[in-house]
Amino acid sequence: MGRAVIVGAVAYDPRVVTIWEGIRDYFHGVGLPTDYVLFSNYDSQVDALLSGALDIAWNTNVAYARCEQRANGGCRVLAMRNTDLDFRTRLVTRKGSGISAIGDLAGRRLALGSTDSAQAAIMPLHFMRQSGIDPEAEVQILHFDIDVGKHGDTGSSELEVLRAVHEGRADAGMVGHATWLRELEMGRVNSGVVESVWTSPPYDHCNFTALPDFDPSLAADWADALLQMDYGDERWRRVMDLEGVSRWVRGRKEGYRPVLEALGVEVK
Amino acid sequence: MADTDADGFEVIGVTPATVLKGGTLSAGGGLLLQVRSAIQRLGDGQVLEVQSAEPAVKEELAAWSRLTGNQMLADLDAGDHTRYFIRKGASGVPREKPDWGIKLPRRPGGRLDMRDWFVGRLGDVPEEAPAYLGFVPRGAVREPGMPEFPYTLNRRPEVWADNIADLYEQATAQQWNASTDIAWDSLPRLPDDVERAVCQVMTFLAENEYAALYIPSRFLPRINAQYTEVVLFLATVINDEARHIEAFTKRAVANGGGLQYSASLTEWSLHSLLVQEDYFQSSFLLHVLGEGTFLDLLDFLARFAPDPVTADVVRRARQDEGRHVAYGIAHVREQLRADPTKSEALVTAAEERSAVLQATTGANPMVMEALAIISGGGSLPEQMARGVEAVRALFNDMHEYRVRRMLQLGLDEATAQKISRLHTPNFM
Repeated sequence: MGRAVIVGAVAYDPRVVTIWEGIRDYFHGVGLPTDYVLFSNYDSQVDALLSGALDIAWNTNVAYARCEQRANGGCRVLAMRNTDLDFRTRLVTRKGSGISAIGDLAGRRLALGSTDSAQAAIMPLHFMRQSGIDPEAEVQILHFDIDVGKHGDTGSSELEVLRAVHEGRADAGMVGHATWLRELEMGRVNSGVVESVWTSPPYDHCNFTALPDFDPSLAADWADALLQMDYGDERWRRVMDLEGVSRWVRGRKEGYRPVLEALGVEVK
Repeated sequence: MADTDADGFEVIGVTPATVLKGGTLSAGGGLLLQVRSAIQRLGDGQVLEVQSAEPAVKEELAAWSRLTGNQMLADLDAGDHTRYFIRKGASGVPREKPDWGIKLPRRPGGRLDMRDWFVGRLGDVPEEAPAYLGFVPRGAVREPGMPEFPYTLNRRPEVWADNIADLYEQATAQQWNASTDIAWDSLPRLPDDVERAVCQVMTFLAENEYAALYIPSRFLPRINAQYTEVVLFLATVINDEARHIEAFTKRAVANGGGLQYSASLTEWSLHSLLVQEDYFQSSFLLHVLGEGTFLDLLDFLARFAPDPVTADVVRRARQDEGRHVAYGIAHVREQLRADPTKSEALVTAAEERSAVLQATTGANPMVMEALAIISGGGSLPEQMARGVEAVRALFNDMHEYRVRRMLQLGLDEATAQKISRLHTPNFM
C-alpha cells in the first residue's frame, strides 16, 4: 500500500473534524489510507491543491471553478453528494411586494448573502444579468457578508437574508433552496409575510476535485470506495448526516457550467 | 399493479402506503414537517400520497423530495386538490414499528402498576443492551447513528433482580417525610448520658448512610438505561439514603445534644466500600452484608430506643433498608445462579476489604459504648453490664443473620461463615 491520499476540507464548523475523522476511518477500513488537512478558507485550499500539497479537495462550486481556471479546465470531479446535484437559488419576497419574477427587481431592495456564496450572491447576480438587469446600477443590494472565505458554507448569511425580508428591511432576498426548505420545514418562515416566487435553473454544488495529474486509477478507486459508503451502516450514518449526504454520487462536470459562466471562467 | 382509490382515479404502479391529507396547509405551515415524519415511518421504496389544495406546495414538495433523496413520482389533478406521490428513497434502514394499541390493566383503586408494564416492546427486557441505545426508552423505535453512552453494565444479569418491579412499587408507596412524619414535638428530655449515646449513634448512622447514598450514585450512570426498573429503583435507594442522613442528623440536633465523634475505622471501612469498582462485589458488600448488618442494628435500636420518637426514626429507616437488602440478595443470587463460580469473587472481595481494615483498631469504642448505654438504659455500672451483654448478643445475631442471608444467596455454610467473620467491625 502506498502513501495516504491527502484530502483537503474547509473547517467552517467544529463538526468538520468529526466528519473527517469518520471519513478517514472509513477509507482506512476499505484499505485506501486517506488523511485530511483542514483549511480556514477555500482560497488557501485551492492554493494547496494547485501546489500539489493535496491530492483531492472537497470544494464548493466556487472553489472548484477557481481550480478549473488555474488548471485550464482539466480538473477531475471525482464525486459529489446526492444533494449537490441540481442545486437551486430561490427568490423570496415579502407578500404584496409586487415582485413575482427576477425581472421585477429593478428599483427594489434585494438582500443577498456573503459575496463569495454561489447560491446567495454569485448565482443571483448572474441570473439577474441574464434577465437583463444590471444589479449594480438598478438594484439596491443589501449584502450580508458573514464568514467570507467559506463560500456560504455556514449558511448564516442566508439566515440574515431571510430575516431582512421578514423584517421588511428588504423587499426580496435570494437564498439557496436547501436553507429555504429547512427554514420552511422547521416552521421558521412566516408564510403570511414571506413567500418564494421564483426558482433558478439548476447548477451543481460541492465536489471532490482532483488535478489532471492525480493518478487516474487511484482517483477511480477512491471515488468507487466513497460511493460504497452505506447510509444504513451505523458507523457512517452520523458522518453522512453531518455532511448532509444520504448517498455519494459520481461527479459530473456539466452541472458546473452555469457557475463557471457566472464567474467568467472559460474552460476547454 | 393497479390501485383504484375512492375518487375513482387509477394510478398505475403506485400504491400509497400512507395518505396524508394536507388540505390548505402551506409547506411552511406544517405540511413539510408532516411529510418528513410520514416518510420516516415508511419502509424504503414505499409511497406516500400527499393531498393538498395549496398550489404553492407543488414546487416545495418537488424540491424537498430531491434534496432529501426521495422521489416525486407524479402529481395528479383531483379537482379541488392535487395528489402527489413520493417514493421513499433508499435509507438502508430496516424500519421497526413502535407499539400501538397497548392499554395496561388497572389494579384495584385505579392503580397503574409497574409490574403490569411488561408487555409489547416495553416488556422485552433484553439479555444484552448496546450502549448506543443511550436514553432511548425501552420499546421506543430509535433512529440509527446515535452516540455510544458510557455504560459499563450492559447485560441483564449484571444488574437485574427478579423482584425489581415489586421493590420499586414498594419504594414509591413507602416514602416518608423526615420533616413532618416524625412527631418531633413529642421528643422527651432524656438524661444527658442517654442523649449523648443517642447522638453518638445518630452520628455513626448518618456517616454510614453517606456511603449507602454515594455508592449506588456511582453505579447508576453506568447501568444501561434499557434496565430502567433497576435505574429507577436505585434512584429510590439514593433518595431513601438522603432521607436517612437527614433524619439521623435531625435526631442528633433535635433534643439538646448534637453530632458527636467520627472514628477513622468508620471512614476507612466506608472508603474501602466506596472504591469498589465491580458492581457485583459492591452490591454484595453494601446491600447484602453492610445494609443487612444494619437491619440488625436498626432492629436493636428500635427495641432499646429510650423514647418513641427515636424508635420511630430507626423503624422507618429499617423498612427502607429492608428493600435495599432484598434487592441485593435477589441481584447477587441471580448472578450466582447463572455462574456459581462467581462466589469466589465474593470471598475475594471480603478478604481484600478485611486486609485493608486490619491496619485499623478493629473496633469503634464510642459507638460500642453508646449502644451499651442505650440498651442498658444508662451509664451506671449495672446498666453498662446489662448493655454490654445486649451488644454481645447483637453481634451474635448480626453474624447469624449475615450467614442466613448468604445461604439465601446459595452460598454454602462454610463460605458464608468465612465471609461473615471477615466482615467489617464497622457493621457497614
